[in-house]
Amino acid sequence: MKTGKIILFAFFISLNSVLFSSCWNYREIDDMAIVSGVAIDKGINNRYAITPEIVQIAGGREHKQSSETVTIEGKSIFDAVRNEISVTGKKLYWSHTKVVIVSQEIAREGLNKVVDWYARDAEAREDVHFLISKDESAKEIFEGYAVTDDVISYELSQMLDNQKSLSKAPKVDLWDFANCISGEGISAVAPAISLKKVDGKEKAQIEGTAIFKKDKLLGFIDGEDTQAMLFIKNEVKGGVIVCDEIEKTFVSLEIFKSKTKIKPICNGKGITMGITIELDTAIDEVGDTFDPIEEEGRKKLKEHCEGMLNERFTKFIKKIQSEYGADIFGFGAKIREDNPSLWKAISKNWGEEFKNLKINVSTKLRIRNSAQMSKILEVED
Amino acid sequence: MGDIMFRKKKKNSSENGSLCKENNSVVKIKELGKSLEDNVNQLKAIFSNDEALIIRYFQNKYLKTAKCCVIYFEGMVDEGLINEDIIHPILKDDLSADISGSNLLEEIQHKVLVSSCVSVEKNIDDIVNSVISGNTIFLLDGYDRVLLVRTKGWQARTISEPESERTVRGPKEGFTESIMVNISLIRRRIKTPELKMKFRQIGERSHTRVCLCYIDDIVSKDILAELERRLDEIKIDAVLDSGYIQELIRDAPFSPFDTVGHTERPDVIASKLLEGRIAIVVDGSPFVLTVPFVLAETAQSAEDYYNNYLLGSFNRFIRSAATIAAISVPAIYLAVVTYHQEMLPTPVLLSLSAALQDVPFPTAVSFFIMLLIFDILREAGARMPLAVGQAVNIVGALVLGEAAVEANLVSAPVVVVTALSGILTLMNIKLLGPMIFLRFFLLFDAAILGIYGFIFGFFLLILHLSSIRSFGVPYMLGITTAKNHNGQDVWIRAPWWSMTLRPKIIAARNLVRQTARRNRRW
Repeated sequence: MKTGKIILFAFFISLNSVLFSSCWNYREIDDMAIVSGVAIDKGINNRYAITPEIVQIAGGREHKQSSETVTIEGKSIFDAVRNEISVTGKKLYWSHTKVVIVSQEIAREGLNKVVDWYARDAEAREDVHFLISKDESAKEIFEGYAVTDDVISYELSQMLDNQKSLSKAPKVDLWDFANCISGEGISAVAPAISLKKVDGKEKAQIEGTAIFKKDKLLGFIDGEDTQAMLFIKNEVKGGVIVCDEIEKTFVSLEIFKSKTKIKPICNGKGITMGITIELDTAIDEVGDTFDPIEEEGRKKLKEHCEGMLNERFTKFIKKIQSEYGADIFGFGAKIREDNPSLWKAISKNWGEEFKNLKINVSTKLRIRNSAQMSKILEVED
Repeated sequence: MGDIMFRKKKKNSSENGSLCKENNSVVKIKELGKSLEDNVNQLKAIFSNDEALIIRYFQNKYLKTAKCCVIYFEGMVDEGLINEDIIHPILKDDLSADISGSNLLEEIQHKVLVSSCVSVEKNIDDIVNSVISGNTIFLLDGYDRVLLVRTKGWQARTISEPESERTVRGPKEGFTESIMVNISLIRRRIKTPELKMKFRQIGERSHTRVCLCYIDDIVSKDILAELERRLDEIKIDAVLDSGYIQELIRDAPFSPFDTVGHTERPDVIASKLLEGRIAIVVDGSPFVLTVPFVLAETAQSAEDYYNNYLLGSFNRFIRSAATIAAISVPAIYLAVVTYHQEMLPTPVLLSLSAALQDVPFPTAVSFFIMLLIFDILREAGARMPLAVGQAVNIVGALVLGEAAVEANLVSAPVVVVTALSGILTLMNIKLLGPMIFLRFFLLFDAAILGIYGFIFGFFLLILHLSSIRSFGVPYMLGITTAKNHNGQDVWIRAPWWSMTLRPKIIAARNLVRQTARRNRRW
């Protein structure tokens, strides 16, 4: 009797584990179509055209990877995704997707639908990289030529991961983008991608930033401006500052560390954003006879460079204020953090307020060393 | 459940027992008479048709009344001893000069026979048992008693290195099949009068000698009493190896885990006795049993204690970890590959995907097949004569592993994981049995429920282990703690200077192993 009870008890517990184990199922890896990246375009009649890049793996001893793209349309994004089965036979597998490329057209219309589908789907991950295509369509990016990887999406993902030593495009994950869309006092940005001719072949290149207001694309800024933006957003991890027009030559500085502090100052006249950027750099390239290593030259370089950067940052912020009016730097969020009562008063009209913000940029440059050489290269005959 | 099974067994054995006794009573005549001839004939009748029985009459040439006879079994005795110690003194010496008293048998026992162990016996059953086990019966005309002379002697295997528990460092002696040799190996290591040996015979036909061995002032009296009670319950016809007794006295009869330990090493037995355990030496078996037995003991090796404690601890730890890994690795691999692909890093997923291309069987099925094949190879290799064993290895490794992958019948990762799991199993050979079952059990769980099923199965395993006791001692003793003296010899082997106490529950009566020195610097 006792044994019977135990068996019954164990049976019910086991039954629970089968019933409540949610929607997983047994699925073999080789039955999956692994999606490495996806391009989302507008199709005909307002439909969506989805172009996943599917990794093709040939088994056997020397396995080779390649990729294949298929474009499928549907009434909604998910509809298009499921329609894929009728073409490829295998169900698409989204957990290892690295990049989502969205066409300009959809981005201008509003990205909320794309973000919602991607964030809502159980399989897709929210740490996927988000890219906006500058070209006509997003899918043509996959037609480009891959250099280091056989799968273009993986190459793109690597490009973004290594932006930290370039700082010419922001690295934006989907969750980040979604937060910016729904966040107060901050506008979203995303890296821009386009096909460029490299050595006569079409090749995808990530450079520049797409600027959004709410979920709608406003326009693009170039790589140079992106660097300025990243400096202000305190997202620079590395990169190069070229200090040009100094004694008719240039000096390249490698960035080791950059720290930005933003302090909103509110007095009677209005709000001033005090931006302090502390830069830790080293001389990595000296153009000509100008010696930036000696004390005098170093001082000159420092002053010149600080002035140049101040001017560049101020100009850039002004440009964003006047041309786009989108608070991509998160000034509003900063005010909200530092001075909630002020934010309450101005938040309703933040769009206008942002345009009228006063900016005070001060850059502090520290030149740490001159890399492996302590002198400039003397050119003599 | 246990009770029911136990009762059934008892019933069967008691039936057998009563049958035996009926047979005996038909043949045997209980009493010996005074006539030498009659007595010999009686014994002859008992051993009728047994041609190994030797009967030798002889008589002292000076004392005519000394008509004697020796009866013994060929092959069970040292015939030199019989010649030198019994027959020679009686035939050659002038007994009439030596013997003065009226009781001739007693005189011969005390003054003539040159043997260390001679006893007088009247009961015919005991006489029969004695001669069967290699003693010689000395009969004298005119007496209804006989002398039993210890003349046991037969060929036995010499002490050799224990095959099942080799060590690089440490004693190389192993137990043999002879109970007396085994006992001497134990007593040589613990020379104290507190070391007690209690003999008994088990097996209604085999009359196997079994010796309980313990240290009187450390052992728990309760465990000893319980062990003796369980041994008394055994009513089996024969005990051919200690394995019989191991299974007959164990707790948790349906569990795959052993609740009675066994070892081939006398040094291990000595250390277990010193921790308050009881050893059961069974004649005819080189494996000596120990109770109580806990799970932690399966991962202990004699060498851990002889090497530097750091090395000992490291070896102990990887052995313990390997035990867990051996049962988990195939299940976790299966769960991740077939349910939780998102857990894999992308490059791993891609290379697994490449390996799985064109493999016809589902991963779960190929796992069951490969693990089964591994166990087939292991078993085949273990039973094979050495020379053929090589062939098994080659067939196993090359044909089944390499060729199966080559032919795309199984994927390479499955072979790798199976081989890894197989090697890990061999790290802790004492748990081989449970590990084989658990590996399949967890694999099955993982196949139907993914990692969730694996965790579910693992919980069941821990629940089961927590429910077992060996002679009242929790089976998981020490495993969940690293703090006190129960835990310092489980996952690691603590340095000898810190192991001042014996395991708490087993040696509760006498805990102190060594008095600790405060300052360990010399």
